[in-house]
Amino acid sequence: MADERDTILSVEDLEVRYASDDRDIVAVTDVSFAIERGQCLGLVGESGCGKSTIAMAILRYLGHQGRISKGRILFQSRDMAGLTAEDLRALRGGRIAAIYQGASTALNPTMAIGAQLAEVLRTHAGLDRNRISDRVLDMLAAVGISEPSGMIGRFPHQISGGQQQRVVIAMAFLAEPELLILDEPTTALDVTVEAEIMNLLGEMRAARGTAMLFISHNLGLVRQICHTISVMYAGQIVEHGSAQSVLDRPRHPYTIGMIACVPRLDLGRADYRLVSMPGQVPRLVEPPRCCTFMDRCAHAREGTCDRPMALEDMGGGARVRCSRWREVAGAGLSAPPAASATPILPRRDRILSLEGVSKTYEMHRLFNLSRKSAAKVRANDLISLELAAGETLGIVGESGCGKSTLARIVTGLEVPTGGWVRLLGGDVTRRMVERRSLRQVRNVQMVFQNPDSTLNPSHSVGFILERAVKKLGAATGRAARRAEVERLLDLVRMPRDITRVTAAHLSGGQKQRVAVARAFAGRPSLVVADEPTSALDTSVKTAILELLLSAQKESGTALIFISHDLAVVRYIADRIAVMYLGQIVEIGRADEVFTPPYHPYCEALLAAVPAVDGALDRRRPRLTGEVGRAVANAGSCLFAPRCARAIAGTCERFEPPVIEAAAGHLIRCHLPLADLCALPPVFGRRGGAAQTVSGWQPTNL
Amino acid sequence: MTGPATDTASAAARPSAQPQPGQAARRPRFRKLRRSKVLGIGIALIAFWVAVAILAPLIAPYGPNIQHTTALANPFPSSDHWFGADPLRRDIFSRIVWGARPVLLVAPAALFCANVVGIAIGMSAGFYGGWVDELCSRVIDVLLSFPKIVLYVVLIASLGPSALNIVVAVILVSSPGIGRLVRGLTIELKTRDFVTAARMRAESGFYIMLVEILPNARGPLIVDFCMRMGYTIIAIGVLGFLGLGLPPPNPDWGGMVREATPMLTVYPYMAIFPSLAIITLVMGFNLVADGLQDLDHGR
Amino acid sequence: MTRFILRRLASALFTMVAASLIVFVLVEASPGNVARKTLGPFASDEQVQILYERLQLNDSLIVRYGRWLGIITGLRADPLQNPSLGLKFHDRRGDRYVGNFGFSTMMKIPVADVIWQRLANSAALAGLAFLVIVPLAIAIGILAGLNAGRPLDRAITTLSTVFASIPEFASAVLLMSLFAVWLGWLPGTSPLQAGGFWPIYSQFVLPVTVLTLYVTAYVARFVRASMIEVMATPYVRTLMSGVVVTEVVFAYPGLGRLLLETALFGDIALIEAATLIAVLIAVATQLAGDIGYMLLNPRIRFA
Ligand code: SF4
Ligand code: SF4
Repeated sequence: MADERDTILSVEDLEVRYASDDRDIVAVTDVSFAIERGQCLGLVGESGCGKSTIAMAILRYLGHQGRISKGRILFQSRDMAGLTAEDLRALRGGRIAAIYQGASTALNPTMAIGAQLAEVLRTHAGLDRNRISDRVLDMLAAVGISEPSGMIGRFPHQISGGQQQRVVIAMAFLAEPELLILDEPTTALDVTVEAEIMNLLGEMRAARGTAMLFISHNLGLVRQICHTISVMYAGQIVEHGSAQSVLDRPRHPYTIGMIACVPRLDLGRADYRLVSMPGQVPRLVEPPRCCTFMDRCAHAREGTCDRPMALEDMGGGARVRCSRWREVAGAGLSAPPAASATPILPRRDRILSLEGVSKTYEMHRLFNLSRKSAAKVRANDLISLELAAGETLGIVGESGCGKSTLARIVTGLEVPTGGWVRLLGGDVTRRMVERRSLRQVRNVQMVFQNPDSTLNPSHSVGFILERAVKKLGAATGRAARRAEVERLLDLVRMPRDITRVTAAHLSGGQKQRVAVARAFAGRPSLVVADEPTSALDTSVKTAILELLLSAQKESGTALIFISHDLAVVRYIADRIAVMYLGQIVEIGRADEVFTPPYHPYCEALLAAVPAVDGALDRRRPRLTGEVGRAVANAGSCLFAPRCARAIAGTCERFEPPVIEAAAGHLIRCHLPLADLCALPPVFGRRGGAAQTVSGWQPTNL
Repeated sequence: MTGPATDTASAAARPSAQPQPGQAARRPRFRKLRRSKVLGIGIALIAFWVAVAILAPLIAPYGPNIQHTTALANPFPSSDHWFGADPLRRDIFSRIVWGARPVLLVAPAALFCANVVGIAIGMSAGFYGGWVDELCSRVIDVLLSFPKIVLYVVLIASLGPSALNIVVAVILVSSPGIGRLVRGLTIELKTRDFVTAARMRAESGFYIMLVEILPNARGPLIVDFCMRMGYTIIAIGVLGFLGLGLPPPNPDWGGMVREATPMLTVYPYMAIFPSLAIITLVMGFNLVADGLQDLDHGR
Repeated sequence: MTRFILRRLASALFTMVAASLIVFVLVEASPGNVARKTLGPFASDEQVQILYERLQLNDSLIVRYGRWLGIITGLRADPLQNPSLGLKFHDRRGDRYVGNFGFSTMMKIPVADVIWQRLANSAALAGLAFLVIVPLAIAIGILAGLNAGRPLDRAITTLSTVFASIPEFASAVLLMSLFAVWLGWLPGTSPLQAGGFWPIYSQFVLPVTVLTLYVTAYVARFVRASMIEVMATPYVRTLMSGVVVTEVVFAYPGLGRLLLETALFGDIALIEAATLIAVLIAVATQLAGDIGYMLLNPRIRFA
């Protein structure tokens, strides 16, 4: 431990309680940590583990119901408990700055950006006018805003989410804080933007020596920026240590489980198997009397685990809250056997085919699947895909790439403005779902993103499933339907007595399970899942993925899986289509898309994703700029403005051709295939201990 | 480490270990219900008047329309006539007790009908959109542009004062407002994924509106119902006061105030007691509306 | 922006026409009634029958509505003024002018002779109340906002609930008992006639108070329920409802009391006139409110 004067923040034996209806809820208990100057501590854990509560406790934003019931928080050796409201206000946004998930809430919508930044300086630094405007411009430049002088006159709603987050960062750093609290600062952003923001944060910390508390559920991000990590579970720190040691050699069964839950970018489904964790984070009403993880722990032993756990020193500053950590570690972290490596299905009958589908929006053209002015210069077809029975097609892309619109066209919630859609042998191009045949309707079902909106909160699980069985399934008669509902509940591994529970009372993961069961009620030919896991915690996410896979196998359903999460898509999909601004820029087998030859956009996307696995060394072609609105300069590569490999004079003037890299592996790019093949793979194994992973040669290592 | 893998699989198969939120989540609502003072007082006031209405024959010492010659010279409150006697020397206490019946019958019945009409209009407008919405919204706008009392007066004046016509008037006056509320709720709710899911199993529009959307609009609708009960009782009182209420000699609180007003200088209590009856009943509904809103906002 | 205003104007016009149709249907749906009420209770059946034919009352409702609209807008001559009917209805403005609402059977004079004076009286009452209500409501809103969640906010909420539970006639009766009967500080009626014991201005105190109490509380409650934006329109419509009752209680010679009296009497022309004017005011304030809101709110302005 460094000596006193370097310690910016120290939290000692903190316990936070929230007053609830009948008794207190213990949100955080027995938490101690310290952050030194220039250091970054990562707090990781799933929602409800108490990580954000700690941030709130530091800033004393606990509201009416919350209170610090035990322990101290020292900021630069000063007990925060002794501060007056006045002191606190001066501290917040001054020496302690905080950045949250939604940048838009941190900015005042009615004030110009320059004025907001200037205000920070006026209140916290007391500078005069000229110096203020200089500092503001400098800071905007420092956070990577290309035209600072243009930015100061704008209002928050006029700039993109990524730029807003930059401005918020600028705002935080303007006050020259000693401590910066980052609570999921990039969760709402696209991967490429996220990567940039993370880089920026790393640079700012290096340049200014600010201490940081980084709160996230994303282990990859934490690995990227943090020196030390505290893993939280049920309000306690269960494991602490250097980022490397915790993530590479996790000791606590929970940490091990968490890491095993994270899908990998560098491996396909054939090569490893995700392991989901059962159960839920318990809600504590009093400080725990046994290991809080006990009911979910595979290593739990009566006699050793059923007493309060203390953090035990493992040496080297690493601590773990598990009495059996030696035995657990001995069990090793060998990957479980790969799931039955599903071979790519031979092309069977086509159930869905899209041909040159385009969709243009008249009014606001938020996104379109083709060019905006499709009528102008449109020679070849755009979105063209085919889906065989039982196949899984993953669609990835950043927000606004049109992947959801594609889903809505397939499911008949929207009709395309051009092209053809054939479903189960029938033309459904101009048919909204209400006008499709009963067979077509029943055979296409959907799993939605938002668990809180997917089930009718007024209905019971039993009612929801029975209705789905009645309308979609073949079962006739009440008893048969009941049996079918029970089959579905088994399929998604839910207890049968859950039928009586109202949907509003389910957890997010449970809701999504029911939603999966509902979608598969009639053994449909096709299920379209639009970001079904992105609102869920890591361990729950994995469980839903497994369910989808097993349900799909059971009923031979084809799956279109839409996500922004590349690793998830790689795990679940047989084939992947990568979309950018309404176009498919690459489509092919999962392993093909993730290894060269690939489209420069795929390369950039892969490079942007933070990996948990430290053995992965990645070259990172940095992707600058942000996804624009599909600009209509017909006859160019839409990716050209951001492409690191653009061929000047060609890419921005001519429409790229579609190259067939292999049978069924298509890339839309001007670069010759040979060049694309020569692109360095984004992943490599450090130290040359290259493993050959399905399909790519680690030649460049 | 095959242990964890198999273990997790079997553990996942018995998620009964997970907290069952079903029962746990329902209990606090009742606790909150008890905790909200406003709601409690409101419910008590309504319960009081409902009890009075039901038990009127037991509570009221006299019939509502019996004229007491004994009170001719002295109509002031006395042990015989607790609230005194009215200009026609009928027992005011008894009339107030009996008068609870028509109000508590007409107002909820009328509002129930108004809700049926308003929900039908608002829901079709919000759900179908297009010309249906245009038409319904226009009708709503036009009806809402009338000041309420003016509409009531013109309606009752042309239909004639009777309980049935009051119901008709309440429907015409209240359903546009309900329709507008429901339309807004429907437009919001129909974007939810569970509605999309219903569309994807080829449910009829009728089913979606009634089974998927309506149950989720019940919160705001209940609050609205309570607030509207208050206004409707006031409106019925006002109609009675203006001479457009229930035809005499039926005991009608508003009408009682009307009959007493000319004698206010001598016998103010004749008007004050029925006024207090209306005020307390209306306040009951208003407080319940407030309390329910507080619960919704977690205040 | 001009398009926005034009669109609002068109929709206001539509509302007025539709509202007038509703009023006409409500009042004149049964044609036999119309003739009878025009002539009064003492006319013989033959007289009623003659008038029925002369006015072509057996025409369809929509045709009669068209004629009626024509008379009001001054496009048609009022047939009642035709001397051959022998009704002795005479209007010094002639039989064809804008705002010709016909004759009041109750007062035996043209509606136009009585209605505008009454409207002015009502406007005076409403205007005075408005002058009190608006600053009061703003002050209350700011106070509640600044103390959100604290006892003062709760007190304001509770008080507005309590006052919104008191019908105008009840508060009028209570205030009258207190200030006019018991204390004798203020007059109990407001006939707007000078020369009595009470000066005219004192006759406004109680009616304005009654209006203020109810309207402020009512609007405060609605604003709390966030059902409407804080705008002038709801005040005006609530105020108009309140004015009717208040005028009746205090025997105030305004449009509201006129409406009630004519409604009870069955004076067709006056009912129609008073109702239409009330709707016109409501629609006009709505229009003014919309346009004002647009001028204040740039998002609509640029849309
Ligand atoms: S203490 Fe026991 S139950 Fe807790 S994590 Fe360790 S092995 Fe599992
Ligand atoms: S066509 Fe050019 S700009 Fe587009 S992806 Fe290929 S190299 Fe980049």
